Amino acid sequence: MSSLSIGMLGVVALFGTILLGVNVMVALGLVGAFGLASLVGFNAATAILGTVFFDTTHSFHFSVIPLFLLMGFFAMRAGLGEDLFEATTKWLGNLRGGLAISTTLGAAAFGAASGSSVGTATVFTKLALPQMLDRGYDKSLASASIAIAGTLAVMIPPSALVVVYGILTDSSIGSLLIAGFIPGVVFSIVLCIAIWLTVFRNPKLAPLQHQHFTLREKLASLRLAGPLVLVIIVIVAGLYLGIFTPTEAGAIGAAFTFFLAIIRHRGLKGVELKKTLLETIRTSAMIFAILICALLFSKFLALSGVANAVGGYLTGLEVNRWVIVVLVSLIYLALGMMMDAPALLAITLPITHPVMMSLGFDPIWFGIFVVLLVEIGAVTPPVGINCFVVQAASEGRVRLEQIFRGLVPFVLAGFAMLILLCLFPQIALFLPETMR
Amino acid sequence: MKNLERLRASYGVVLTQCGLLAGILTFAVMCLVVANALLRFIFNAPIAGTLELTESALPLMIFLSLALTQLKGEHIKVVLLTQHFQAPLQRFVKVIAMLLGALLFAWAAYAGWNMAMKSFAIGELERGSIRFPIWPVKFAVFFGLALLAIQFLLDAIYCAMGGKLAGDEAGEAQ
Repeated sequence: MSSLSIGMLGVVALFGTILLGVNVMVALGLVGAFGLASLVGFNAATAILGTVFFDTTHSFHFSVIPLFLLMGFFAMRAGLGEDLFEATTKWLGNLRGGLAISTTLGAAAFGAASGSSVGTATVFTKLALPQMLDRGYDKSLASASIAIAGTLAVMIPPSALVVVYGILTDSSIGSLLIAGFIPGVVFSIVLCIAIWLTVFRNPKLAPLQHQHFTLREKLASLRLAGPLVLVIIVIVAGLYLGIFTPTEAGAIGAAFTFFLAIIRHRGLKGVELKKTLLETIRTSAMIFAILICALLFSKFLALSGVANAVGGYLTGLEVNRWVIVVLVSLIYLALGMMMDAPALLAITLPITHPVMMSLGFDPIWFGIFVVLLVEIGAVTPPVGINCFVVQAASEGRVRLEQIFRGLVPFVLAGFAMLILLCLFPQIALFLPETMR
Repeated sequence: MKNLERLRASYGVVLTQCGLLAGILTFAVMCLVVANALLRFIFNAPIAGTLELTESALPLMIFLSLALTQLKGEHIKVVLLTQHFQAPLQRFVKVIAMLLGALLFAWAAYAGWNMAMKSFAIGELERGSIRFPIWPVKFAVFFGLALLAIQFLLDAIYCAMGGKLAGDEAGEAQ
């Protein structure tokens, strides 16, 4: 059997085993290891297996992942979502669709700190959904705006998922993190516009209700929210100016949110340090297991020549390169409906990344583009994970169909954002290209 | 079955202790990296060895928690298709999936053991602004991989005997 057919067989085996419920890391690792063994022999494959586990984790730069995760879990423990939501509603609650807009911006800031799409959606369902429904907001609009706002978490730095892309594709982690900032902010604004337009067309969806807050009350709401936004800005600025590395940014962010959690609970007890640390290491282990096995699989694919063959075939097609972009996007949207983001990146990037590079796309730009795609996948049926999370956290207030129905304008907003990124790649590339 | 449950539970206690160690290391790394950044920024006096210590701590953090994550059923899997299977078939594919996990990580542990022994034999050092032997970290990698292989094997036996694994409920909800 030729190397190429072994490679093709490997890809089929990967998807087959994943669909049969084998852990994604096991599927990637097994196909990778057996594939390598059939190409270079058992001993060589064992040697690769021995080194890949140690070498991938023996890294200062990759320590950024557990540190970002730690920051996120501390931010949740500190209950910072509450403060952010209180602050945004006091400042923006009186706008048309104000509560939904406040939710979007509060979730953007909280998501930046937590880096977790699912975590952010859970927190804001508990905080914002009851308030919106009390004020007579339409159930679909209220729940869908929360589901989509959760996705902002993985775009705005610091974000562990962006680091995962960086490790899988050997791209600069610092540049990638910085690159997500402007697109994240622009996407938040696009979502706010989508809310405003939806409510403008049908004002019944979100009744206006004026509540007056004095400036003192508004400023008081910034107590903990202000410092959090400040630390995110410090992290972004520090990375941009080259004052510290991503790993240091993660450690500083984690230490800072740890202190905010202590302040919130007036002591260590409420922080539940043991539980937080265990959650952090379990999530880190989950991400790294997939990463390492994906690297093994990717070595196998490269060696078998499949990655090159697919790339060569696609670049050989006499079609506009944007046709390929549309094709790749459709693949991500389809697969994004089936599995979680890190797994999705792990099984697709070994093929899509070389193809996109051979078509002349920028690796940093593609990273941001893919992360946005994956996140749109996270809200689309049948397995829109964020929608399930919102439904589960709503305690029966909304039904799944209501959430999906409400998502139409936001998914369209997502597509608008994808088009914006294609038309103006500078949205993602301006900061990394000018950073020190 | 009772004995198996007891064995799984006590094995879980060991894994939780390993996980706690990993968690404490994560917190320690956070403190070290922050201290280093601050001292460098303010006094221009970084802590020697921060880079080497951090990079050697990461394998410990990851490999000491791999098996615990499996025990809790938190490694990503896709249940889109298998959730529609009849119960016996569902259990059958689950047992196979766990056995495949045991196979992969037993192989990886064997490879890790070879690598660690080689490192021990040559007295391999972490090189940088401070020096220390790196082979204990490589043995920890082997240890973590072996723990995971055993956990997969326990899960396979447990599932074959009709036990319910952690994470199954979450999978069914999706």
